[in-house]
Amino acid sequence: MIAEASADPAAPRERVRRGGFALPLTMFLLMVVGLLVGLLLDASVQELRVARGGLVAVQAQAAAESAIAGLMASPADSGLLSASRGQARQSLMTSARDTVRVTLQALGGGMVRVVAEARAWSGAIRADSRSISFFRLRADSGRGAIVLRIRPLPSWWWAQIP
Amino acid sequence: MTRNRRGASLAEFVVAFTLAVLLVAAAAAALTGAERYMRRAAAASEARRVLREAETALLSELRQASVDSLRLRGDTAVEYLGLIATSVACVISGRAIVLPPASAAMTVPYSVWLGVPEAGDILAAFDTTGAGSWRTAAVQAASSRKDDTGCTPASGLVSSRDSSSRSMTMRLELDRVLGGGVVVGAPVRVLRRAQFALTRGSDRKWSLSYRRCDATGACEASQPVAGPLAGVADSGLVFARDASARGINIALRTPRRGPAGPRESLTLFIALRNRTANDR
Repeated sequence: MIAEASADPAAPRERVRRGGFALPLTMFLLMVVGLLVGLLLDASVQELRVARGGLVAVQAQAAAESAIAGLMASPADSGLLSASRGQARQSLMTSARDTVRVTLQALGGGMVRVVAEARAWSGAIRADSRSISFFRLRADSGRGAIVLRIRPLPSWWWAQIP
Repeated sequence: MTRNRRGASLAEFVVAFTLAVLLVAAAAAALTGAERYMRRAAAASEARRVLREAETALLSELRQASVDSLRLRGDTAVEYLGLIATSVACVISGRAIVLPPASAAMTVPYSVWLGVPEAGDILAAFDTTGAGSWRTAAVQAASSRKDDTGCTPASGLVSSRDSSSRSMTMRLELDRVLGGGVVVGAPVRVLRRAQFALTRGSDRKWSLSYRRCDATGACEASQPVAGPLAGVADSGLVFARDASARGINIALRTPRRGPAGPRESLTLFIALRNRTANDR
């Protein structure tokens, strides 16, 4: 709506209604352009979002596997030898929001089952990884001292589980 | 006083019309370009999704297969023993073995089932005699039971809560006795022979397919897992053993979009974790 002033200041003001189409058309085009830009932005970041999810999943998997590698590299607790079948020990490691939980379960006869569960975060994206592995306790006599270590079962010892 | 002045002067109309035409032309050009970009991006994204699906299926199955169970069939198919369950022996009686429940009443349940065991599957149980080895037997029958399996809290593998709630245990009848070295608490896994291959469907499109086989080697019909992939002649899926035999190389390709159009490809190296003791 455009108000036009009369030439005669004394005359009553006239309100002129002029039905134009430029403004609605512009608004419509602006909406179309906005929608297009939104769609293009969404399409361009889609692969990035997927890649970020994949990266977090790999981080969780690496954390779980590194916990198992750490167990194999360090001397085992001798208490595991005398632990009764079914007895379990848990340890929890945290780093910021990421967590790794390792559960050792004695199976008897010097066998141990290890469940490693890791959770990794990147912003609002979360990924979990869980694996089961089977070991035997072995006395390692390297470098003079006898150290108890866990050793993977021959041929097959590890599985990733949902 | 309100006065309606409908219409516009010719000059106003011409200016507005020209502006509108310019805007519509610009918007149409932008729309066409955006539509072309979207179509390309959607096709590329779809091709990558196919490759990701194939990668997930191959990784989850092959990574946990043991090296000695994996066989290449030419360069477009691989046969392996896939994992159906991991557990521990709770009761061993003659040719029968009972596995504890998969409930979470324990800290972590001893049985993890990825599928339902069936006759024809293979059971491998760890024999602790000497250096230790896996004993195998074919499953003749599998049944879930609540009672009379003998898997009690005294074994240390079932919680009293599982016992009182009568959680399901799994009893497997085998084709042979496992031997004295397989004792209560021995690690157990249930396996099923399966194949991944590049196959052509009735729609003449190539895809990564999966099929399960029984202990005798007879296989069921292939089920497509991810596709479309490029055909055999265009190296849509190629398996190759790693030179060190510690893993398997897999190359995947999607078909071309158009005669000279772009396509996506993926090269995977799957490190086999379950190698023999001498390999480590």
